[in-house]
Parts: sequence; C-alpha cells; structure tokens
Amino acid sequence: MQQLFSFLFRNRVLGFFLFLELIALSLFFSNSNLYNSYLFNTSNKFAGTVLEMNYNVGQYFQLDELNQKLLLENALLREELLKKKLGFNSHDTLIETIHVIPAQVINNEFQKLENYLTIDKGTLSQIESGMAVISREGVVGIIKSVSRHFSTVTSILNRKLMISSQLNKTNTLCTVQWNLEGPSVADLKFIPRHISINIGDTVSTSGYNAVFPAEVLLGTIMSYKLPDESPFYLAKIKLFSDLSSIDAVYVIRNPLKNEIDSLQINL
Amino acid sequence: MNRVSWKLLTFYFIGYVILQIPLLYKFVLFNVAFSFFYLGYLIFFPLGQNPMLRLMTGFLTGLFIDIFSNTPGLHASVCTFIMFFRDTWLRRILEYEEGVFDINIYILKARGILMYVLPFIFIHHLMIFWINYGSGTGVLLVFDRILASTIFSCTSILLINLVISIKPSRI
Repeated sequence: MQQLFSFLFRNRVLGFFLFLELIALSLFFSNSNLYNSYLFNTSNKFAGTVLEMNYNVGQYFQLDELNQKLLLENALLREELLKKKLGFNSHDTLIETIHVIPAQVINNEFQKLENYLTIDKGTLSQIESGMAVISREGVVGIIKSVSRHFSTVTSILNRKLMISSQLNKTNTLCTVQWNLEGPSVADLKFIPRHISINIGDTVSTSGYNAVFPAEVLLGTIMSYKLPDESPFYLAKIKLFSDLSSIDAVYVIRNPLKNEIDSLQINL
Repeated sequence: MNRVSWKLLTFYFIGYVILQIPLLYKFVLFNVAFSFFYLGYLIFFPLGQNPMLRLMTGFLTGLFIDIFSNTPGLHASVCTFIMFFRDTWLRRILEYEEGVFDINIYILKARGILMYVLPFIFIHHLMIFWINYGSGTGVLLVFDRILASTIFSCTSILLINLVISIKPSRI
C-alpha cells in the first residue's frame, strides 16, 4: 500500500496530465459529430462482425436440425403437389391418404450388377415393400424389404427393375431399364417406330403402375438407333438423379396401390 | 531574474489570450493562414513553475479558447499535451538547470526562437488541424495550412511579445 502511494506520488505529474487529457478528450469526442460518427460506424461494424460470427457458429451447430426440418417441409410440399396432381380424377379418400415420408440414405451402391440402397426408415414409419422412392432430382427406386427401422431399396441401377414410363412429348408409353453402363445411363425400351424422337426429350414415370406417381422425372434421351429389323427404337437416357451421390430421399405411400393391383391381377 | 513577475504574466494573458478571442477566426490570411497567437501565453509562461500549475494553465487556456471557438476539448487537450514536456525541452535549449525564470524574446534569442518557439507552434498546429480534419492521411491535404499558420502565428506572437516585454538593461 505504502509503495502504491509512493508510486502514485512520484508519478503525480503524469497522472495529472493524463487526467486533464482525459477530461479534454472526452469533452472533445462527446461534442464532435465527426468523431461520433466514426465511433458509431466503427463500433457498429465491430458489433456487426461479432454478431455475424456468433450467428454463423450457432447456425453451424444447428445445420443438422435445420436439414431435418427442411426435409420434413419438402416431404409436406411434395405431398401437397401429388395431391394436387391426382386431384383431377380421384375421390377425396385418395387425397386424404397419400403420404410422403422423408428418409436418409445410409448405405448406397452403384458399382455392382444389382444395386440396392438402405434408408433409415422402416415399418415404424409405415413403409411397406413396393413403395416408390424418389429424390429431389427424380426416381431412385422401389422399396424391396423392410425391417422396423430400416428398409432396402431396389435402386434404379438394377436390371430387375423396369419402370413404366412415358415420353413427355407424345405421352408414348415405354419402359426404362438399367443397362449396366454406369450410374447415370439407362435403356429406354418399347418406343414404337412411328414415333419421332429427338435427343434431349424428357422421360418421366407414367403413373400406370400405382407405384410411382405420374410425371416424376427420369432423364433425357442421350442417343437412339432405329435398326431396320426392329419394331422399337434402341434408345438410351441420361438419368436426372445422380445415384452415386444421394442423401435425402422421399418414400411415397399410395394406399390405393393394393386395390389397383388386385383389380389388375384378375385380368 | 529569479522572481516571477505576476504583473507581466497578467499582461501576457490579456495580450495573448483575451485579445485572441475576438480575432480567433477573423485573423485569416488568404484563407490559408490562421493565427492562434494565444499560444504565446503558454510559450512565455515562466520556466520552472510547479508542474501541476503548468499543466492546469495549459488546460484552462485551451478550454478558454475552446469555449469561444465552439470546439470543446480540442485546444484544451493539445495545450495540455504540449505543456507536459515544455519545461524539459526549454531547459535543454536555454541550458538553465535550476530556478524559476520569466521567458521573453530577449532571453530566447534567435536560437530559442528557432528551436523552441517554431517547433512548439508547429506541433500545436499540426495536432489541432489533424484532429480537426479527423483522418490519418488527410493531414497532408491541410499541410499547407499548417505551415502557413505556423509562420503567421509565430510572427504575431513575437510581435506581441516585443510590445509587452521589457528589454533588459545592459549591465
């Protein structure tokens, strides 16, 4: 304490000087508009930067949650969209019951001859085998088998899967089947000779088989041939959905599928 | 000359500070040179006074000018700053180690004017214009004003001092 006082006493001139300067400068800065605006701008900028950083860090840790929310919202919107599409020719029970379930892909393969995906939703989320799986780009596949928490999906990159589809330009019914030529190419089959097709025409699902809703995009025609002896074109399409990098998918539950199937099996 | 003449100091105060008030921003040459000749009071403040008194004089003189020039704190801070190291500097120039002295133009002589009065005024003006301009590099834009004002202030200060102070009689 003694030392503190003696230190203060020894530096009393400096202390007094600083004290006077403090008074003068505080007077000056509190009365100068120019410096006030400087201070305001600088502090604003600083505070803004800090707040932004804070927000960014917070955002980063919420990304997971945000993703889930977005997925749910997307599912809801897709549901609305499907209801609207089907609304032309169906009755109210259908509109009430079609359901879109969001899911995450937890295992994916695209380099084998027969490829399957695994998703993180199962019977607890009302998934059954035979349901359609789509992503934001287009068709992914069909549910193969289901456990309580997980399901396997027969990928579109699988020879066993043939998808009823249509050429959007002419509404011609055709079939898409994978041709083992890599994860983004598939064959387009059974387009009759008399239809004229062009490279770049889009192909989507037909909606005739009650699995996929109508007009889910599949791909665009990338090449075609018309051999003399063949009644159909030999065409290839480039798939819209990139099955090699897929994360979020939507499972579509159409409760009228069984009814349609049972009716058609009697033919 | 070991005694401080309070009468002379009063004359100084009237001649420099009081006179400055009505002429503060009216005494301008070619819109470039301003005369802050109140600084003469601080320059010719007696050497060797109590440091507290010296600082307080600087502060109050600056504040007095500030009140009339509507720049509260600007002159006060600069004057306090230059009064802080004034005595150390002046003792080195005059080579007076101890004692209390009145300062005037006859004691300073040409050497004192060149090495004490001019730099003193220059630093004061530099700070005033710099702070008033409010940016780091902007001081270059007002550098002509600083130089012109320094010369103008110095001339007026020396002239006023010639009028006020008494020439020492030769022994």
